[in-house]
Amino acid sequence: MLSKLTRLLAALAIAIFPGAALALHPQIDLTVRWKAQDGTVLKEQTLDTAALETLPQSTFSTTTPWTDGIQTFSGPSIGEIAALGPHPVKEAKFSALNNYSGTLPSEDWTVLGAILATRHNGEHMDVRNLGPFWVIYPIDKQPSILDVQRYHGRMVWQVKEVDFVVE
Amino acid sequence: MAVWFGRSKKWTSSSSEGGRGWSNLLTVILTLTTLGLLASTAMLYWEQERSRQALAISVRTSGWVAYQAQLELVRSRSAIRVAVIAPSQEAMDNVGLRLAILRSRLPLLYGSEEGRLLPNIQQYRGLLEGYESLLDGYLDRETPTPGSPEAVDVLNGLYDELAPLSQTLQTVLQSAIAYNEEVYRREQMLAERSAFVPLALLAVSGGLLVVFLILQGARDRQRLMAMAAAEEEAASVRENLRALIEAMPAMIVVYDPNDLEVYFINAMGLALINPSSEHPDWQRFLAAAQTALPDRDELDTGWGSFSFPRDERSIVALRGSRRPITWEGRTLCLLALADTTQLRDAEYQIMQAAKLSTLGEMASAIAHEINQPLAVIRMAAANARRLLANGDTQALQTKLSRIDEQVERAKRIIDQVRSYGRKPSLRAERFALPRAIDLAISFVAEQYRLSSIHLLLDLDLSEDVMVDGEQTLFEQVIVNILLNARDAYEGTEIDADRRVVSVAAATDGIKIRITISDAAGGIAESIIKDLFEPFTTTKPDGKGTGLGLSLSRNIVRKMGGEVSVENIASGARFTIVLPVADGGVGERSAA
Repeated sequence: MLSKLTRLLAALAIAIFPGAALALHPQIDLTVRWKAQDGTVLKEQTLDTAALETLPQSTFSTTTPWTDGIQTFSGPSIGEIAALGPHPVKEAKFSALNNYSGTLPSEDWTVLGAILATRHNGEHMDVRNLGPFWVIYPIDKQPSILDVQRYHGRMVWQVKEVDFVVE
Repeated sequence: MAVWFGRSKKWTSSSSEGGRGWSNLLTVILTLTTLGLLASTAMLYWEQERSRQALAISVRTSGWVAYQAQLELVRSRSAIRVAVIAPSQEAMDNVGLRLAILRSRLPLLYGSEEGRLLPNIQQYRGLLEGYESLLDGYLDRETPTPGSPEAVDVLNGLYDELAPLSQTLQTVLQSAIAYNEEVYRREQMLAERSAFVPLALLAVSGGLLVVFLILQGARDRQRLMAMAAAEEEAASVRENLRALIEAMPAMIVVYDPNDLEVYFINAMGLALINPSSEHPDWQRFLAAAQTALPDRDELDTGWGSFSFPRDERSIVALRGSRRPITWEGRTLCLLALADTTQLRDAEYQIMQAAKLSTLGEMASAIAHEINQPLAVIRMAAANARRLLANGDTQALQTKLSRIDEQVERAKRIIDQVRSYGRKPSLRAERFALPRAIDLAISFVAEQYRLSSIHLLLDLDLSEDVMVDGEQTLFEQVIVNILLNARDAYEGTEIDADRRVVSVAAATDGIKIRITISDAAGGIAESIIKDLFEPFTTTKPDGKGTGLGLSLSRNIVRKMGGEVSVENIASGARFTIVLPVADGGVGERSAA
């Protein structure tokens, strides 16, 4: 019933704001879990785009292997999301819609500045454009370190879940 | 400074220096070549490895991109089938999500770094963009009600329309796999070759190094042989030189001027001074030589003479020089001396003969001179006898005193003759010059009186002005010049009152200058410059030997002085310059 209402609202939105409907369809939220070393879930939380955008934001421009030219990305540092949990975080496993996953050690956001981007060139991203959430490193700041296969593999797009492993 | 054996050493060093320069260049070139080869090998290997890895990773990921798209297509189509067969809102939503994911994958095939590596991917771009529009068309439209005939139509239509995409993606994937295999094959080849190329380069480098080392070894051996040959040559030169020195009829001594330690004495030297180089005589001898011979450098032929009392009876006369030398790497002193003992003895004999001849010449004058006191004595004796008869003892006393005086006078004359005729002592001694001049003058005084020659004396010397030399020989020099002056007047018509010989002497404290001048017309210009050479004489045949002035010059030179002659207004002037004896004991001087 609820989904029906959503659908109706969405149809309405398409009629009024076709561009916005494109970005919001279909709606996907981010599931965030904090786990102990043994896999016990310590905390679980769901965040939508709006919730993520209430956190302090980072914005930078960089090239990526999957885009043409310099792109601007913005979103919270992964550390900001991790800080919502009860304990310091050691690493984060990002899972995508197609179940692809990449694991980032905490240095990747504390030292290398990885963010979970919610906006690409100022626009929200939908699934067609590799959204709604995309792990992005500021590659152009340190191309010699970051522009390699190792970090390309950690730049998970279409993120649906994050599992933080606490210390 | 003289460097003995230096020449052969110089040859050796110059030849090997040239060789060294060339071999240095060779070493540098070869080392650089080898280093360059090694570096290029390493660089080539690294470069190959890096590009190989980069390519391999990209190629594999490119295949992954195609595979992902294919996978999403299969998922999308099965989601469509599910939505048709078991229609529900959830199934419809799933179709939307799957199609969105598929839509997101398609641009990556041609728009991402990995995708661009797919073979011929750009030719599929238009086709893929067509599918993107198709998908966008579905995603942007309102989702049809699940299970409605419209939904079934739309979904079936989409299902069919997506079927050829599967074909396309399959083709892309297969070509990617084929490409991958090709790349893998090449990689393998590259891996094999990359092992071969550095190995070959290493082998070449190593080979070059070996060649270089062999060449270098050969050069070194050659140089060593050249050095050995040069060493041998130097040794033989040294040997020859030693033999030469040993065979020389001169005395050669090499010693340290600081502590008088003897390094080398040749046979002549050993025979002359003492057969044992350890004997204390050598120290004495070297000290004497060191004092007597001036310290000269190699260009100056500073010859000197000195005598060395070998023992109580014999005195060796030596002439030669002393100079610095590099002997077997040390800076020492070389003494080269000729034995002039026989020459000196011969000179003395001539001098003695000349003196005796002078004495003979003057015998009548001497006799006359002694006659005078004798006549006075005879008269006094006669008077005394008469006075004795008269008993006048007072006057007798006076006469006897006169006899005494005259005996004394005769004794003085005889003493002079004896003194003049005595043999030279062979040894340089210090004597008072004014006394020697007086003796010489008094010896010729009677001769001058007989020849009516006036002697003018101007001796501005104190009694204690000393010189080093042999006194009797020096007296003979003065006598010789004075008698020459007398002889010069002999054959002339010059009036008695104008026959004058002046003897003057003066000193400045360092040197003494004695001049003897006459007014007998001078010496012919033709012979004046050779006057002191042996056998030069102005006297008639049979009168002079021509040796007197030559010997005189030798005597004066041995005293460290010089004698010269010049013509003045009306006659000749002889000048003798002598050094005043210094504070030393007088070792150095005429022998």
